[in-house]
Amino acid sequence: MQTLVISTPQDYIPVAIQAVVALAFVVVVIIASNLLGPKRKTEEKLKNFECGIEQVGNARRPYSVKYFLIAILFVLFDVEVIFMYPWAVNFRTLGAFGFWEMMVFTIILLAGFLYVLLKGAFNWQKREE
Amino acid sequence: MGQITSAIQLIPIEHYMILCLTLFSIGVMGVLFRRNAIVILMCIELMLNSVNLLLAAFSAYHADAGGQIFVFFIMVVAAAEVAVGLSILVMMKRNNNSVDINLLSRLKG
Amino acid sequence: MAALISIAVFGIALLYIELTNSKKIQLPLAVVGLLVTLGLTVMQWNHPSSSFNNMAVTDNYSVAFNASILLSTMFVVLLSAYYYEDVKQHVAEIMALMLFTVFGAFLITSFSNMIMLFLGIETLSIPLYVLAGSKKFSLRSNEASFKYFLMGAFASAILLLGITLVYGASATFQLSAISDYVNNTKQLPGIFYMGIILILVGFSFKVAAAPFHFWTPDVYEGSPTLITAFMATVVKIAGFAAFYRLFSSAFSSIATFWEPLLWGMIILTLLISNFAALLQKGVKRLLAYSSISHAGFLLLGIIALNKLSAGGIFYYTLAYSLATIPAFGVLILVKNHRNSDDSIDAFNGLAKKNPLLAIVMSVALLSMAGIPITAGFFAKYYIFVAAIDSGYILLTIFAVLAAVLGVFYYFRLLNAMFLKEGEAEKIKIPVVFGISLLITTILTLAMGVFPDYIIKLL
Repeated sequence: MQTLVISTPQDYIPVAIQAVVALAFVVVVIIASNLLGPKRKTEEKLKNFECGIEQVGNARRPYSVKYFLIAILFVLFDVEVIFMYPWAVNFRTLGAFGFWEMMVFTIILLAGFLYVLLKGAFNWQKREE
Repeated sequence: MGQITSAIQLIPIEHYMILCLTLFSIGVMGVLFRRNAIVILMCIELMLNSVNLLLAAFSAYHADAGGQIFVFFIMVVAAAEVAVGLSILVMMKRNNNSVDINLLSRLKG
Repeated sequence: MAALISIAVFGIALLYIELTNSKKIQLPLAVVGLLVTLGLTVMQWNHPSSSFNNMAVTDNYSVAFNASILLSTMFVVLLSAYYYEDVKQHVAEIMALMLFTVFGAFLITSFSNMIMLFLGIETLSIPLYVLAGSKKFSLRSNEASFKYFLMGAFASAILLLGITLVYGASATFQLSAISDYVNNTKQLPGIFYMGIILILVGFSFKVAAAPFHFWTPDVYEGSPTLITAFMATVVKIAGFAAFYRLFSSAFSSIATFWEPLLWGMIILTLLISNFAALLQKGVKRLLAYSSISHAGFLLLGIIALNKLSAGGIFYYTLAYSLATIPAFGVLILVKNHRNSDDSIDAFNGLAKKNPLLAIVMSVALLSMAGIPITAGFFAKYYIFVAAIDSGYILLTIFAVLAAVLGVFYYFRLLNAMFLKEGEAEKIKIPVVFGISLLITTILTLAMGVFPDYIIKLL
C-alpha cells in the first residue's frame, strides 16, 4: 500500500525561504547596480527605446483594429493546445489510436487555419491600400 | 492522484465552495451593474473561471478525473465565446463609436 | 455519429466555397448536405447506438428531433437564397454557420453526459451570436447580436454552475449515474438542489421562458428576419429536446422538488407573453411574444413527465416550426415590399392582391393559435392530455384560457389581412420561396388531418 503523504503548512517553509531569497536577490542587485554603476545621462540614453529610430508620440495610443484580428486568432489557436497536454501525458497508453485521433483534431484545426489564411486575415498590409 | 486528494481533503470542501461562489457572485454583480461592455465580458470570464476552480476542487475531492476534463472543455469554449463576443464588440464600436451598453436601447417595446 | 460528421464536413466545405467565389453551387451544396445528413439520421431509426465513450446516445427520440431540426433548417436555407440575394458576400458563410448550429443541436438532442450538453449548447449558441449580427452595418442587428451574446454567455455560466454543483454532489456527469445517485441517496445534499435550480434557470434562459425571457423580443426584433425564423425554430426544438431529456432521465425521481418551480414558470410565461403580445404593434415582436407563449405550452409537456410527453413535445415543436417558417417567410416578403415596415398595418388588405400569401399566413397563424384541422390544434391537444394525465388539471385550464387569449392577437393580424382596406400591390414571389411556403403549409394541414402518424413515432 502506498504510504499516505499529507502536506502540512510546515512543508511549505522551504518554498517560502526560496521565494524570499529570490526576491531579496533581485532587490539587492537592483540597488547595488544603482549605487555602483557609472551614470552618464544624455538625452539619447533617457529615451524609452534606445534603438536609433526617433520615437513618435506616446506608447499609449490605440492600435489598429487589424491587430485585434491577429490577437483573437492567436487566443483561439493557442487555447487548443490544452487538448494536447492530456494526450502527451498518456501518449504511450493511448498508442496508435490516440495518435490518429490527434491527427484528426489537428487536421480540423489546420482546416480552420487554412481558411483564415486564404481569407486574408494575416494580410493587413494589402488591405490598408 | 491519491496524494493530491488526501492533501486537498485536509481543507473542507466548503471552503472551496465559498471561495468559488463568492467569485461567481462578483461576476454576476459585474454583469448586472457595470456599464462598460468590456468589463461585462471580463465578468462573464470570471464566472466561468470560478466554475472551473470549483470543478477542479470537486474533481480532486472525489478523486474523479471527469471534472478536470470538463475544465479543459470550458476553457476552450470560453476562449471561442470571448473571441466572438469581442468581434461583435468591435463591430458595434465601429458603427457606434462607443462600448457603453446604455446605448443599446434602440430595441424597445 | 455519421450524421454529426456529415453535417460538420459540409459546413467546412461551405466555408471553403465562399473563398472560391462560386456563388452558384453554395445553395445546392447546403441542401445536399442537409439531405445527406437527413438520410444518415433516418437510417438510425430503430438502431440505437452510443458514441463518444457513451457520452452521446442515438435513440428514436433523438432521431425524431434531429430530423425535424434538419427539416426546419432546410426551409430556412432555401429562403436564404432569396433573402440574401442583394448581399454579395458571406452567404455561404451564413449557411455554414447554420450547419454548425445544427451540429450543436444534434449534440443536445442526443446527450447522455453533462459535458456533451454544455458543448452542444455552446456549439449551438456561438454561431447564432454571429448570425444575429449578420447585417454588419445595421445598428439594430449589432445590438441584437450583442444582447444575445451577453444573455447567452450569462445563461451558459449559470447552467455550468448548476452542472458543477450536481457533479459536486453526485461525482458524475453521466445522466444514468446521476439518476442512480438520486435513487440510492436518502438525504440529498443542499448543493444538489441548488444545482437543479441553476440548471433550470439556465435552460429557461435558453428556451426563453419567463421570468428569463426579457432578451427574446429585442433579439428577435433586431436580428435579420430569416435568422429570427431560424432561432425561433431550431433553437426551440433542440432546447426542449434537451430540456425534456435531462429532466426525464436524471432528475425524474425528485420531480416533487422541481415541479412547483416549473409550475410557477408556466403560469408566468403564459400570462406575460400573451398579455404583452396583445399590446404589440410590430408583427416581428408579436411573433417573438408568441414564441415565448409557445415555450409556456411546451413546458407543460415537461412538467407532465409521463409517456405521452415525449411524443407531445415532438409533435408540438414540429407543428410550431412548420407554422413559424411560413409566417416569417411572408413577413420577409411584406417587409421588403413595404420598405422594412413590419407593423400590423403593413398587412392591411393583403388578401385582395396576394391571396396566396394571405392563405399561407393565415394557415400559419391558425396553427399557432391552435384552431382545428391545422397541426397546432393537435399539438396543444396532446400536450394538454399529457398534463391532465399527470393530474395538472388547474394548470391545464389556465393554459386553455391562455390559448383562447392567444387567438385574439392572431386574429388581429387575420383581420388586417382579410377585412381591412389597404393600398396593397401584387408582391412578386420568388420560386424557391413559393415552394417552401407551399410545402410547409401543406405539411401543417396534413399533420392536422393525420396526427396519428407523427404522434405514434415516439
